[in-house]
This record gives sequence, structure tokens and C-alpha cells, in this order.
Amino acid sequence: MNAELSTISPMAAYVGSFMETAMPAWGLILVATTIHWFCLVVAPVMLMAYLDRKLGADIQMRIGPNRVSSYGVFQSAADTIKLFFKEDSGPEAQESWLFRWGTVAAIVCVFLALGTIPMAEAWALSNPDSGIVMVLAALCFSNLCVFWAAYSARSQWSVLSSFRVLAMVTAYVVPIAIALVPPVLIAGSPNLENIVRAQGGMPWKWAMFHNPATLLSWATMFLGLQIWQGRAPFDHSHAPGEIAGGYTAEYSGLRSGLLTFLEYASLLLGCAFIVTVYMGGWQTGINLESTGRAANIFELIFFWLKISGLVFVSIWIRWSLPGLRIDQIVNLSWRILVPIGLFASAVTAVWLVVARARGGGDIL
Amino acid sequence: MNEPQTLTFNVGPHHSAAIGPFRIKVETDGEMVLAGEPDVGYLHRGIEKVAERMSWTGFMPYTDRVDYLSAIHCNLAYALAVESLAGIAVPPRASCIRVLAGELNRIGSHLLSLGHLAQQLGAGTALLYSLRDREKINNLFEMLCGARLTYSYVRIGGVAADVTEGFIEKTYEFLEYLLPKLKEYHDLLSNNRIFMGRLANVGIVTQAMAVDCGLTGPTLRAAGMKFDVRKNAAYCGYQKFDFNVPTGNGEVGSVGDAFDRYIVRMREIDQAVSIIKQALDALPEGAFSTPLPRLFKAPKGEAYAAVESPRGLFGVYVCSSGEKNPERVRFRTPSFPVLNLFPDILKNVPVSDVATIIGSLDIMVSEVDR
Repeated sequence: MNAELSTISPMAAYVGSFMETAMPAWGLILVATTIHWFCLVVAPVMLMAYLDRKLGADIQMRIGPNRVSSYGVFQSAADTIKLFFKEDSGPEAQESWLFRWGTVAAIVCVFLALGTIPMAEAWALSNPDSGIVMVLAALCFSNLCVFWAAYSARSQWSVLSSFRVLAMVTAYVVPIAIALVPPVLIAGSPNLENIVRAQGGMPWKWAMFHNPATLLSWATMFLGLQIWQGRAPFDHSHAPGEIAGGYTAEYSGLRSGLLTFLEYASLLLGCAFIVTVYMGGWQTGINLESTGRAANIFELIFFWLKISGLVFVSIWIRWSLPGLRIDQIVNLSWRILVPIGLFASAVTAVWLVVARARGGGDIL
Repeated sequence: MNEPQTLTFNVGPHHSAAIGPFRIKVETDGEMVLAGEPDVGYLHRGIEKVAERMSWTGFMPYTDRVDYLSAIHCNLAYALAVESLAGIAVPPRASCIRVLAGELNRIGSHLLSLGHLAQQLGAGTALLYSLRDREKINNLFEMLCGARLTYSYVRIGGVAADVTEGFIEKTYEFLEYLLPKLKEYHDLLSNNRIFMGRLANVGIVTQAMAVDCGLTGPTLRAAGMKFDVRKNAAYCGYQKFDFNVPTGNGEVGSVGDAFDRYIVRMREIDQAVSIIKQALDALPEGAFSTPLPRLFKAPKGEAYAAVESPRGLFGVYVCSSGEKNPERVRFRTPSFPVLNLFPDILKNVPVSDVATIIGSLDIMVSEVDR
């Protein structure tokens, strides 16, 4: 049973390896999912929300949260508790279930995608054969859900911002999809676990540094994911100055908190995804055999360190640049990112053919 | 056949794009704005009517509220008008202090305007940077006259008090502090490709449009016309100061676009720094004010005076019947004519540019409505 379970849900199998008595597969999956959500998704998202506020405050020469516990570390938790008790008011359109559940559906998409990302060796909540397609689908679908929510609010600014959300989907999906070609070519598989295994722990063994062109496609993907996350400077769909917050203005209380949660969960997914396909994922470059099952914890730490670096850069970008206009974003994506991505894919393909003909071709 | 449907938005009255409550009815077709119609009056306080029941000197604090971001200029225009009506001579030291305070106020106003514009584009960090520097100016004013926003510092016949001890040194220090910070703004905004792209060719005001609408100040100068009250009809001895009048020349787009308005304000800050330095270096000795009689009554007649406020020509017309209160006071404010532009300027622009255009025009609603 365990062999079968580890192909479906490696993490459930890992949890099962600690159990003295055999548990049914669904029980293991339930336990693994709970651990995954609370420890590997919700906790980091809370931490990122805090970091964003604190670093943003630092960039803006403010102090930022400093009341809840030392340095305000539990500010996000306190905010969440507060939002639970706030009135859930909204426009008439609240009757519409799309308005009420659209953002929840978007969060579900992000969670599904996060579940496929291996956070340590054999430590993905689910391991579909083509994990890349799964994540890509989630990237599209999450914003489609936001579009539903925005459009169903039936207020002018919301409707306008819903169109912008759709325009954004066309702007980021194509560059990201094209930028995924080089790692798949290098690994020879669209499975995320295999893509990570094809890379090494040291930076020069990452797909990002496989050849000069992959560095370009890494940048393409990073920018594409920035657009997807919809944080400034790519926040034209809900820019406070331009369209009065767009769809975010119609939500209150916990539902508005969910939007904030979605923002940081997206940031987490974006960084985790690019670390997985381009930056060696959980690979540490250290021999951890002697540590047994604890090896996963070390790999997880390495994985988080890489993510933290990217999160820091994202926060830095978010607080220092003015927002782009919608035509600037679409121009950036179609006239710059897509050609660069295509070029990088072609170069990587030729590189691999030549290198394999000469007997090499794996990671340098 | 279905008629093409348009969507009508209310930008405002409470929208971050304008300083103060101010509504624009915007008709859109998708992302394109077809027409924009301004609606003002949310901040009308009847200041001009109030003047008719106030004493000549007692009205001064009300002028602060006409444009609270450049209170010195409002004080000054009113004081100049009454002085010319009553034939009061202002001591040279008072004139020089007026120039000094006015230029400090100009820097503060322009800093806020640039931060505000940046915030419209989503660069809220630049707003906080500009507020940080404006704070230093507020501190200087607090030192000078005790108030940080509504100064009432300029009085009929001079200024309220002489410069306080240490003010001149602090002002020199501030100028030393400001120059590197201005470079920071240029690095953060002026030389930023995104910022340029957002402002270039947006909200173009041609010279003809500007003249037709009666625009003055940075908006007119950005359109390429070299008109500045400080040069064309100098007051307070501005003719003695050496400074340039920067005009827009379409560096990244075309002449008179939003970037030109922004960069003209930035260059005016440089010029203001130079004027303040000259004023500090050559501050004449003597009295800071001409004493007025206990019950001041302006002689029968009328007078008009204009100053260059950060937003343009700020004129005051006063009419006296020889009583202890004015018969009529009328403000000619620089932001009001800007509203004439809206039907032309908000035609076939993307919705994203509405906030940029309003931000770059630097509309001060309290002075539109007064």
C-alpha cells in the first residue's frame, strides 16, 4: 500500500512512516494535508505578511507594526482575529455566490498548486505526473476566480478591475508557460519531483545557470510571476490611486482578509514555483544520508531560505517602483518577455542537442 | 440595433487623486474615457463673504485657508493689495523675509505635489520621502511664526515678527540637507523608466489651450510659455534676485505633458533654493513691520495685487468704502481655471491616466472653492 501511496501523495507516505499502527490511506492524506496547510502554508503566509509590512515600513522610513508582542510579530495573527469579528457587509451583489466564494475559490487554486510543490525530497502533498501543468492551470484559474468575484460585485470600479484582471491573465500566462520549457527540456519530464532531481544543490547546478539563455528565461518567469501576483508595480487591477482599489473595495471583514491572504499565498506560490523549477528546489548539495528521516527538515530549511531571498526581492520591488499602466504591462509581456522566452527555449534545446551529442548534456 | 453603452463613474468627491473633496463625472467605454465633467463646491466656505464682516487686519487668518498648502502666498497677496490701497510702505527687511518665507512655502508645496503625483502612480514611498522633507520646512515655519500650516505670518505693513534666533542658521542647514535629497527624488522618480512612461505624452496641455483657459504657474510654464509673476510683475523686490524661470521642453514626450509639469516643479525647487540663499545672504537690517493705527481703515477705493503662488498667479482684489471692514474681497486663484481644461484633457484617455492627469495638474480644492 505504501508504495502506491507514495506515488500519489509522498507526504502522506512520509507521515505514515512515523505511525506505529497502519492507518488507512485517506486518514494519512488528511493528516498530511492538515500539516501541510497549517505548517507549510498558513504559517509562512502570516510571516510573509508581517515581513512585508515591516520591510515596507523600513523602506518608507516608518516603524511598522510594533504593538503586538516584540516587534509586532503577531500583528498578522491579531489582525486575523479582529477580522473574524467584523461585520461581513458588502454591496447588494453579496447575494451572488460568485461574489462570496470567488476569492475562496482563488485561494483553493493556490493551495492546490502549493500542494504539488515538493518542499523536501519526496515531500509533496500530491505528485501528479505533470505537476508543471497543474501549477500553470492554477495560475490561470486563480485569477479567473478573482474575475468572477470582481465582475459579480456589480459596482463600476469592480467591473473595470475585473476586465483588467482578465487582461492580466493574457499578459502573464504565456511568458510563464514559455519560460517553463527550458527546465522541462533539461529534466526531460514535466514532473516537479523529477525537475528538482535533475538539478543540484549548488547554484552552478541549478537550471537557472544551465546555460546563459536559461538565466534570461528565469528572469522572464520571475517577472511573469510578479505580474501574476498582482502586487505593485503590477497592481493595476486594484490600484488604489487609479481605480479606487477596484474589486478589493467591495469586500469587508474576513473576506477582505482573505484577499490579503490570497496576495501572500500567491507570493509564496510564485517564489516556491520558481525555486522548484529553476533554483534547485529542496536540493542542499550536502550529503544528508546519516540524518535519516530528519533530512527532510534540512531540505525544507534550504528550500525556505531560497524562497526567502526571492520574497525579499519581491517586497523590495513592491515598495520602491511606481505602478505600470496596463498597456505597459502588456507591452512588457508580449514584446519583451515572450520573445526572450522563445529565444531562451530555442537556445536551450540546441545546447542540449549539441551537449548530448558530445556525451554530456546533464546539468553542468 | 443596440446602442453602444457607456459606463459612468464618479471620480470623487473622496478620491485620492485630488487634494480635497472634488468630483469628476467620467464617462467611459471600457478602458477609454469619453468625457470628464468636473463638479466643484464641496469645500465652499464663503471666505470672500466672511471678509465683508471682518476688520481689515482680522481677515488675515482666513486667507491662510484659501490655499492651506501655500498660506504665505495667500497672506502676501492680500497684504500687498491692502498696502497698495492704503499706500503703506513696507520696510526692506520685511520684503526680504516675505520672499524667504514664500520660497520656503513653495518648496513645501511642490514637494507635497510631487509626492502626491507619485502616489497616484502607486509609488507611495516617494510620498513619504517628500513628506519627510516637507516636515523640515514645517519645523522651520514653526520656528519662524509658531504655526506649521496656517501661518498668518505676513501682515499688512510687514510680517508678524522678526526672524527668530537661530532661524537663519537652521534654514542654511536645511538647504544643505535638501540638495542631496533632490538628487534622491531624481533617482527615484525622474530617471525611472516606469515613471517616465507613465507621464510622457499624458494629459498634454498645449500653449494655446493653456492661454485659452487662463492657466498660470507651472502648468502654463510646462506648456512652454515663460510667464512668472515674479519676473513679469515683480513684487517684494524679486527683481533684485537672480533666478531662472524653467519651462517645459518635452524631454521624454511632448511639450506640456504631465512629465513636463512634474519636472518644471522640480526645477522650481532648485530655483527656490537659490532665491532663499540670496535672501539669507542679503537680509537687510531694519524694522520688520510698519505699525498700523489701532483701528485700521483703508481709504475709499480699490486695489489689486498678484503674487506667484506654487500653483500660479494668485490675485486679490480689494474694494474699500473707507470703513473698518472691506466692502468686497475677491480671490483670483490659480487652480480654478485648471477646471476649464477638463472637457478637453479627459477625452480619449485611458482610465489609468485620469488620476495621473489630476495629480500632475496639482489642483488645490480649497482654493477652487474657497
